[in-house]
Amino acid sequence: MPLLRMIRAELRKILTRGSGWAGLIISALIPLGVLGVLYWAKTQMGGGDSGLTVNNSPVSQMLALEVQTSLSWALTVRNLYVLKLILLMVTGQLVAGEWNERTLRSLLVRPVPRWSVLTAKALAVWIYAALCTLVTLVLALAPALLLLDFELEIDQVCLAFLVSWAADAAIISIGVLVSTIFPSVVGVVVGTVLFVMFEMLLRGMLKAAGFFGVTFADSMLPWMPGNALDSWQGHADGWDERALGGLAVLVAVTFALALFRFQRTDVP
Amino acid sequence: MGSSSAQALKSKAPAMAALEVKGLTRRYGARKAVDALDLHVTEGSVYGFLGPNGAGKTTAMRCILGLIGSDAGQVAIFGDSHPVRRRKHVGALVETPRFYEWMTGRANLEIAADYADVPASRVPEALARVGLQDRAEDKVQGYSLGMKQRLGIARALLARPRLLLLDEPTNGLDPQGMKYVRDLILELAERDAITIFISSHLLYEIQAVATRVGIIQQGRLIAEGDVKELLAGGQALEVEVGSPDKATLLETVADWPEVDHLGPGEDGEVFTLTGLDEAGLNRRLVEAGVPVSRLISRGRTLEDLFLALTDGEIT
Repeated sequence: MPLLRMIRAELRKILTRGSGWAGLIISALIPLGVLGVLYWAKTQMGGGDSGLTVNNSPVSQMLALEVQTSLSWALTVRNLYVLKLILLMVTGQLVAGEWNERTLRSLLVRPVPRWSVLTAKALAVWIYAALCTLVTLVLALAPALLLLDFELEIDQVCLAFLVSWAADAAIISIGVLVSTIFPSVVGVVVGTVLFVMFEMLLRGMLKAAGFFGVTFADSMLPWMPGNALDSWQGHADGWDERALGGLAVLVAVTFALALFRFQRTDVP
Repeated sequence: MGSSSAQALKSKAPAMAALEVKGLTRRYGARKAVDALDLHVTEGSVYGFLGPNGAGKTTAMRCILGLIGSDAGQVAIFGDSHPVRRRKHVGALVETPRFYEWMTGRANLEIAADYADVPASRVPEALARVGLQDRAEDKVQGYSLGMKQRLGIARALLARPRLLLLDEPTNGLDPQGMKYVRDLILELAERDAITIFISSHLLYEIQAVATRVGIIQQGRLIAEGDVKELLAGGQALEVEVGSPDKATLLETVADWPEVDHLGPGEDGEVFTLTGLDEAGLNRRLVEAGVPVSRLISRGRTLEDLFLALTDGEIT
């Protein structure tokens, strides 16, 4: 199956570059770092037994020194921007970078349709993002089970990791689309970040409009892409089906637009 | 030479076509980079694609490979005009080949093999074909330009193509590298029976390898045919005649309408002959009592033809 071989080739490119390794290392360091902090809190501070207080509250009441906390913290940290920026960089290198460096040309002269080339690249980054997510999850879960208290309430956090990966897939799709517009890695990263910032600004404006009684603004808010990208927080706040659906729509629409552009653009 | 006489040079195209291009047109704004281009590349031939800078050679090749779209026209490779399927039997090297510099030569070809859906076991064979088997495990960033060019050819050969499209394959190479690529092209054509479509601004390179040429100018084909036919046909033969009696020589030929005196050459007088070949001239001079010490045919080169057809536009 040519598409599988093409995906393998793209994964090989990712995993032989510094950026590919950086993503995996960061994915591994996040849960280990979080676990280290929690374990240190449990052993050195004696948990709640030490009598250590912060803002007049015992540490034991502030921190649940258990597996769920470790997973939840690791999830939160991985969804800060560092890993997403690396995923964007990897996406940019595979699409815009190859466009710019003209290595894309040697792929497109093969007897494969253009859509399959872009699909192989996007699938490879999605798989890579899944690998990063899995590394974080496993390294957050396995040692935490040994070192911290275990409560059987981690299924929602594990589900949140899956949703977090879906949010990564959406960011990657946006990156692929931006790659078909700006043929440079920097352009892809900056372009996508600007898109996210613009969307945040728009959400802020809608909230403000809603505050002043514009009902249309209130009804628009749940459908904004930012809600979809933040839908992983559902494990704590409750899952929003509209946000999860929005995530699927975001991936589908941005990737379809990217395919449309890629199919029609001249390759230098 | 004007375009009407150039048209006369077009020879009758044989039926079997490895590459058939009809009416290919590509516009950039109002400008036509390729204008109703027709090409006929016969199977088994080495086809030289010539034209001044900006004539549309690379644009035409990119259209043929589907890297850029065309506004009109058809391209068929071994009779297949499907935009994807037609590339099945094609290997291509467009301009300076680019690679994943941080990877080894072997890894680069393995990635190409994945995309071409051919077994990775062909990689060593392709590397050996271009003499890079000993450098296969070196990173491409350490390769010289000539090695990259050879690796590019190896990549193009991976899928065992029946048609090889080479855009300026000797560009930037030293004389040794140029000879290596030239010999490789001839070997591929003769030993492997691969049809080769090659564009180059080095006319002597094309003359050394090509059996057939097409010349384009401003996106249009102005001449196409077998190299020998093109060089022989349509224009007067040029000869240099040496004689110990130069005055008698010039006086005698002055009355012959088939002979036109161009001026002094390196070691004699230069004439152009129309409807008369070297042997005929020699016979008539001897019959007229003109002593002939030397008679050299100054063969027309592809460069002469090219310059004549393109009104002196140099590539």
